[in-house]
Amino acid sequence: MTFQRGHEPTAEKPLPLAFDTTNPEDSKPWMVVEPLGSGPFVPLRELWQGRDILYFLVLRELKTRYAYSVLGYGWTILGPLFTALVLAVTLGQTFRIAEGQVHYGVYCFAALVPWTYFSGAVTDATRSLLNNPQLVLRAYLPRAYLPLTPILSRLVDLAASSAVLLLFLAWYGVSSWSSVLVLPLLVLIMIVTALGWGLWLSMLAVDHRDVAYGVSFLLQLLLFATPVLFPLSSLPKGLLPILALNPMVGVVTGFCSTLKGSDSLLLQPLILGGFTSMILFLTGMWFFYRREPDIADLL
Amino acid sequence: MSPFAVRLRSVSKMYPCAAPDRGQASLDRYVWSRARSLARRILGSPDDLPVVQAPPDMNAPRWVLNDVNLDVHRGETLGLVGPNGAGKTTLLRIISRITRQTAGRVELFGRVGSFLDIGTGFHDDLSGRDNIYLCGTLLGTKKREIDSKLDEIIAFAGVGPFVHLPLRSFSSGMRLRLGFSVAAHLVTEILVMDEALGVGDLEFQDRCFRKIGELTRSGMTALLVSHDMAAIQQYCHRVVWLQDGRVEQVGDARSVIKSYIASQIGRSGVAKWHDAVTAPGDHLVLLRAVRIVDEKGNTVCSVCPRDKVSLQMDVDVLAQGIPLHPVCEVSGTGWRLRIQDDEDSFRRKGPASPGRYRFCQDLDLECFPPGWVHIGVGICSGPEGFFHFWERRVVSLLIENAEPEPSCRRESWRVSASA
Repeated sequence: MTFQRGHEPTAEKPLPLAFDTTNPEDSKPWMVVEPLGSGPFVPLRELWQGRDILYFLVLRELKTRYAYSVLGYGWTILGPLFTALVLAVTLGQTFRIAEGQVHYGVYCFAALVPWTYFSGAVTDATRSLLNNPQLVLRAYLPRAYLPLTPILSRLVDLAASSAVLLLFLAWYGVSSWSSVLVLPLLVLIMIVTALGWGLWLSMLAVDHRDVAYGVSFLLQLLLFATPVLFPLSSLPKGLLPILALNPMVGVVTGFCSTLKGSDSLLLQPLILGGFTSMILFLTGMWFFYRREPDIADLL
Repeated sequence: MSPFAVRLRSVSKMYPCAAPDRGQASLDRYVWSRARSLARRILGSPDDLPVVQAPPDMNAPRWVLNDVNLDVHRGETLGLVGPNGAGKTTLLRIISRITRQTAGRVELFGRVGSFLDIGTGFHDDLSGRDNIYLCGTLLGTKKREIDSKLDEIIAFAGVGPFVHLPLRSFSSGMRLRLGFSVAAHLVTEILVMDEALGVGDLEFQDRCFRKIGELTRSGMTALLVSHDMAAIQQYCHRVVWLQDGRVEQVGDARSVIKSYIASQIGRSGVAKWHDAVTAPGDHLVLLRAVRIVDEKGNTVCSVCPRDKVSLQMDVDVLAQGIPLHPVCEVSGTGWRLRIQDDEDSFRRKGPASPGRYRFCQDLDLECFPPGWVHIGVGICSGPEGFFHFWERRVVSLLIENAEPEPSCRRESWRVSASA
């Protein structure tokens, strides 16, 4: 009888290594990884096939963002509501709006709904690569998911605050139903814009951490280039084509135009803004995937 | 089907710069250096502010991997050994496509699942179950597949009752179990594992290696990095020894590990103190050398259980009339054995006169389980006395699994009818 000491003899026999390596069909690799500097390449197929990862990344962020807070997702509504209240009290007298028009605070809230989403999404997306070194260094995943995750997960916040906006609309009245129906398109433009910024800034933040600190100033600057604190009609008409290059101008005026008694929806900022958001997104994708092979070495 | 799992063709990896901040100019550093030179000019004391500059070679590019050629065959368990900084982790990262090589070509013949960390993507605030899904999808598995294997994963990890609690309530061992369990059940083609099993208890480590063995028999390929030479030798078909970014040796586990350990012998098989100032001991007794030698008197570091080896300890005695009682302690993973004189011999031995003495102790290796054993030595003044010195783990020794497999032949089985 043979008594084998220790563990199960897993490696008792070395593998026979007599494979037929001469048959070229046999040795066709599933994937070949070329060295660095072989050009930018956006792995569209991988981005689609790995969508389960994206789903669970978004889920992770949603489940953990307001963990251990009493109000939880109540904060998503309280944020814009509170800011609108502060603005109404402090600036309400300065930006007195003509008779028959909607109250300044309500106007601000309608503008803050998309703006809060946008600024939150861009801030989070910018830090997404820096804040998840574990995912970048220890796992292989389509890395564009990292800036995309906060942009998608913040849509839940946007939905919650939009629900409150609908309550305001029900109370104050809707200007026209077509302007409400166009909201999903505005959200789409906003997602593409935020993703464009996110792709650019998250990658730049890996190279220069300054970008992660500077993004709040960039957003403050953008805030004043967007009609959040004041209606677009209070600006000179000649400035409009330049301002409209900022996609958020069209989006924010679109959100505000749903309120009865505010400016009507303008087509020009939407078209121009949609155009720049596409450019921002495509160049962002190009830049992100040009630098992507390097980031594991830089983080 | 291809006979290979991974092929590396002269793969090299260069890191441009090892210095912090990657040599970038930083505004505050510039301002600081200017302010310092200004202060020096005003205060007129050029010597009190030392200028610390990184050594110039810190900024030189570093080749972490240099022309690595390697064929990994389908269904084999390949061990990667080498000292720290040899490029093992970088190689695993390149195979996992986390980073890219500077030159050369990597061919992968299947999906790579990497287990480079205890549970990649784990989040403290998520429940164990959510973490299984997140970690599983990061390994490249679809949600459907995880659904079907969820129960198995939880059972293997042994965290059944806790799986709905947030991960922050898990012990680190439980996290490791969960992470490994996810990898072991969801990776089907190529598993890449960095030294990660260290946190698990012995039972779990053993279970992990057996699971890997089971998976490789069904066609999976495993690449393991470990410093546990006994485990590597027991479970790996072949071993690659990396040294300074180059493949030093590839071959069957036994011979590669033997030569790898032989290269490290200076650090483990023998310990010497040439200088009386640094030598351990007090004003009466000094330890000068400890070594493990075979029958011919050669220093050894890796032995078979049947080899005859002895422990030698050279001691300087500096004063007259000191009783010397050597003690040695052999320890391994989870056990410890002290070898010392019994009380009778304590009484028999007289005090020593000054000079150098050599103590020898034959080690009966068949008492010890295979693996690394560490030996500590001391000299004490008597059964209840104090220690002149007590050095733990001064030398180490690898006891290999005997080859062929040890067997114990008996006369016969006893057979009786059983109810």
